[in-house]
Amino acid sequence: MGNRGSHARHDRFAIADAVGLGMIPTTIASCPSCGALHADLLAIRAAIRQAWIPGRPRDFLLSLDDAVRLRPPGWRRFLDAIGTSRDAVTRPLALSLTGLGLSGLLLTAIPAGSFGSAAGGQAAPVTPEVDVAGGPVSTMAAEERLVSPTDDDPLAGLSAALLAAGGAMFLLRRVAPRVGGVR
Amino acid sequence: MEDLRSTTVSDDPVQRRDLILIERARSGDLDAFNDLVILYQDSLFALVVRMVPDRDQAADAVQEAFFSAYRNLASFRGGSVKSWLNRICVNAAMDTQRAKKRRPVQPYPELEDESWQPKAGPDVDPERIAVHAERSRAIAAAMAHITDDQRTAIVLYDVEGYDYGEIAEMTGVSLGTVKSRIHRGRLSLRDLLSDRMELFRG
Repeated sequence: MGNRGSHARHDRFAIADAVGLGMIPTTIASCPSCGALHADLLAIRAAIRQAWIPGRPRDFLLSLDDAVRLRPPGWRRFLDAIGTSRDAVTRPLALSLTGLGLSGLLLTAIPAGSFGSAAGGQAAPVTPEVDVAGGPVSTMAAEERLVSPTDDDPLAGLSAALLAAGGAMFLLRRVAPRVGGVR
Repeated sequence: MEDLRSTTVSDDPVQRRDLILIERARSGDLDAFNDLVILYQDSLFALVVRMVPDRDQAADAVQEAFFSAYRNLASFRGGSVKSWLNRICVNAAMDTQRAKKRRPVQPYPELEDESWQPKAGPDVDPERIAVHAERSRAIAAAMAHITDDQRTAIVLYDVEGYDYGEIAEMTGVSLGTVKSRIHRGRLSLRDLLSDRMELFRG
């Protein structure tokens, strides 16, 4: 039989754990103090379950305004989502588009021959070209044509478009939260 | 739109009714959602007001939970609508607990007024009602003085009947932490009520 001295060494957590469970620590049966603690914990648990609670102070029905605010029409929902923590798309998309655009423009700006010269040390000879009339075109003009991307270069056009799209996406992320209104 | 009735087979008429209401709400029927509000607002308020010992804060948390449910109707993946709403309410209550760290000096100051609802039943003996009121008052005061985490765990386990694993998932802590919170909370309540235990032993 337990006594007050040994009760101090008994595991109160095990008794608290036993509340409401089938398994009962032996100390509950052997130690009167543990038995009393167990009975008190059971009584408190029952009282919590049966305790009165304050009544609901109001209805929680949603108004039409609430509904519109919480589930706005499609374009508003899209706009509202941009730039928030829910938006996991626009930032990486804007970064990718901008990165691709910049890379493309960089590639088109580098003369085709410069890769070869850097790698093998053999520069592609820039030979004076012959125009349709048969007259020689200056070397400087030919070089200029290699350095600056021309208007009909599809890669340059595509890169510029990607860069513009990426920039627009960044701008949208800035503007959308102000236009979107309530979050 | 995903047809919830086709993905979730349920023989339970209550669950079937809830799924139909959810499906209608998802397609934009506000009245259907408000039918769900009417069906569950009492039980959800009862859950939250036990976790948040302030009637107005608890009401705000429940309102916020219904807002959140409406906003996230698309994320409902079938199963029990009641469990889904319960989880949203528990999250809202925990958010409120985090936001309002201050503890009211006297929990439920309106304890004496008619906002307290005795459970309907055959128990009309004035003496028993008085004892029950006194017990409720003592329990409410003690519950307000244990930590938010302990109170949440005790309410979910002892009142709502969730198991340790479900509470761990809902509250985002380990199973051991849930057990510890429940056990420490129970022992704290007993210490807080030690002078008044005669009230509960009868």
